[in-house]
Amino acid sequence: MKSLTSAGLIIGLLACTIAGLNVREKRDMPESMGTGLLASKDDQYDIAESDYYAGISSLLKDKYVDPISDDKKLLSGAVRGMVTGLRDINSQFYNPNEFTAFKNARVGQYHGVGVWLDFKSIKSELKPAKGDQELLLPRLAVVSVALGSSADKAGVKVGDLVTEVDDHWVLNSEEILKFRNAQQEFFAKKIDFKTINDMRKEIKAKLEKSVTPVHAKERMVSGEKGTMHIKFDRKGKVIDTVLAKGVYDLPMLKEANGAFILSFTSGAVDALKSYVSGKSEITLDLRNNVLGDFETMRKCLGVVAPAGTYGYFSNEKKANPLIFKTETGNAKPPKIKLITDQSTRDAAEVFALCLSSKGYASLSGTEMGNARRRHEICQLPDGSGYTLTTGVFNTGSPAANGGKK
Amino acid sequence: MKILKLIGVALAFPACFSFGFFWRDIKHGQFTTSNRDRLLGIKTNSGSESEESVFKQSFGRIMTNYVKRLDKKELTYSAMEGLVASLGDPHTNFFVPKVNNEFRDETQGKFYGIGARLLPDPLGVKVVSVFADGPAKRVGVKGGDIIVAVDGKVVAGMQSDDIVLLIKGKEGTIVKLKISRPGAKAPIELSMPREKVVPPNVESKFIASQKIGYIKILNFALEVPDQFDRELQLVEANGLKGLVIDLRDNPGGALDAAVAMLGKWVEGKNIVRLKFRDGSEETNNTERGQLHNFKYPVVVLVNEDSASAAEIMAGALKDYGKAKLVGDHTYGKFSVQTVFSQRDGAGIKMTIAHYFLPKSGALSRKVDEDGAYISGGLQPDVKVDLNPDLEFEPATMDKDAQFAKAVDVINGKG
Repeated sequence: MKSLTSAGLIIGLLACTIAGLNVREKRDMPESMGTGLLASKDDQYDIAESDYYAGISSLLKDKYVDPISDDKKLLSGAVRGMVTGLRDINSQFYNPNEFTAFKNARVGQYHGVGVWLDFKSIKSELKPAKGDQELLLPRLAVVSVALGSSADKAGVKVGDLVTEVDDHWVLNSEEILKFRNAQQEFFAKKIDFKTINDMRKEIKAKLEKSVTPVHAKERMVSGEKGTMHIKFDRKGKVIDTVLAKGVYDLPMLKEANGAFILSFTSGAVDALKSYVSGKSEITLDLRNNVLGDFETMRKCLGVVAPAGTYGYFSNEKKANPLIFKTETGNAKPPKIKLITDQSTRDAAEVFALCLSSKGYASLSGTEMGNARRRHEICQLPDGSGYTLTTGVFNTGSPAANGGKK
Repeated sequence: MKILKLIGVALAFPACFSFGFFWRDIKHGQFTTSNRDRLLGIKTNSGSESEESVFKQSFGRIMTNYVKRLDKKELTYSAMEGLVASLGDPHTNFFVPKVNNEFRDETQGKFYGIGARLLPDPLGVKVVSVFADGPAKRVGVKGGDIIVAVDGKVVAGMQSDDIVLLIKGKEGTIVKLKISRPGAKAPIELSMPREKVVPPNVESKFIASQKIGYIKILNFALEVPDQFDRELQLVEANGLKGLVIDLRDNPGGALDAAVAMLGKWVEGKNIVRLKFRDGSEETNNTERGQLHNFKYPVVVLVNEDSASAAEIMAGALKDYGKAKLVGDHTYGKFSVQTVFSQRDGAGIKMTIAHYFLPKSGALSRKVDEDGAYISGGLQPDVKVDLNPDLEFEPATMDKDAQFAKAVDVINGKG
């Protein structure tokens, strides 16, 4: 009898240990696989790709003309290849420098000229023919401007496109594709030699001094010293600026002009709790809110609104959508007013949609950034990292939206 | 006593739970995890994991969590393209199986065609010229013809590369072309066999007004030294004041072809030294008994698209004082590649050795992070740019400023 009890005890303790492992795994990697004791889920991809990785790395180390010593660089290169191979402007690979800038920006500290930038698809009527996919370079657009930064003082606005950085043309496939189309017209004798030649000279001069959108972004969002000469395009108008670099802190988690500036970063939940406490009406400022953390946002939702299901993240494969809900909530929510504009994006935009669709909040200000993607963010051993789009937010429930999966 | 036991047991449960929860940290030697990155949802890998296992995790994560369904094979190939690209060497590339096959067929001459040079055209492809003795020439295809359909398929609006793939095919098979010819009332239908075509890699011209011979070498295929001899004989028959060899836009080819060419100028001399990863070296010297007597000055035209074997020829002629270089700096490719094929048909074209010229050494191209040229390549003795406002016509005094300068150099006016 006693041994049976002990056996039961041991089994119980073991179960508890495994439960701990499981909870941890769920916390760290909510939808993916884990490592260590419970790594079995990894194995489904264990066959070809890692063999490939090992095989090609050792071949390079063996035969390449120069010695290769940096394994981390090879690893980051492989991950960069996968992320850029998605050809998705919302899933981005960042080199170590850029990733540091990205992490700083997520906690409200803009380095560089005081803006945050994102990539925008080029006009659809100019989409290149098959085989010309490498021409699908996105445009670089301002999505947020830090108040008081040199960019702000120079009048840079959300939505401005970056066209030139320190006299280097930011590669723009729209113009290259226009030239390609003109070439076809020249072959068809619809335009003369002078027209095509002038275009060719212009493109050639631009290409000789050019910078990719990714590098332009890196230069603009990193560094603390010096100035940059940047030209922007605002609906066809050229905005010519000289901007000083610095470190610009976004005002966040404090009250200003009768509104609480909410930012989905560390400390947000507690700060919001103390702000809300005792108030029946609150105004939350969600502007300049482009890189919020989704899990922090979800907890903030629980502070100001009742627990419940707010929507779901749809995907483009036949996997079940991820339901977006809060377990704990505020049973007596205050009346909420939200201030939004184009720089209200991703987590902030989803937050606003959740509250307004349920009638818990009214929106004031202008239209939001129309970016409702959830990202996973991963860092690699050499300090580089990447964002991966995992779903797009929809209000309501999957079935009510025509069974969209 | 019993109560104590019960308390002990009760405590053991949460202890075990915690142990499980923190197992990952204990395993990785970092018990505290409350760092900012983790709080803000950034997934990291601890430094103790091997690159291969981090790769595996990243692969699984992207495959599982990405918003769209992905193909495992394609994702693997994307990873390998990135892995190989991380070396920053533009000549070391990963080829997916399809590209690898095309590359092999091209370099081994396994593709068979109709023997015509083609340019894009809105209606299909335009025939610029037909090669002597080629199938196209035999059945009467002419320069200026526009190929509008291939084997019954209308090709208007298609990319010219894709049309060329339709025209090429297995040796001996028949391709049927519909051709629109300027002046002809109705389209012409012509059928011809696909054959191994030797493109005219060397072209020549005698410019009577200047008494100058002009020989253009388009690439360094193995037949080039013989083709060059033939053209040289043709132009020399006119009595020459000087010879202009045009290596502009010549992407190179076989190293042996370049070394054989130089045998016409120097014998038993070192042309290039190859240095491999393991430190071993290989030298390439010209043979004896191949000398040609150039009784007149020789000028070589080069530009930024002269690369590899073309740079070796130009550089060795310069190093041995046999010719002056006119034009723009060359590309700066001083390396040898070979393809390592994989079991699944993919391949890696990899740089395995560096070249060194007799005096110039290795002038490898350096670019900035945006790929713009900084330095490298051979510098010309006389630098001349083409006039960008003129439609270019090679080997003319008025529409080819680099050729005109070469003639000046020959006449001692350079």
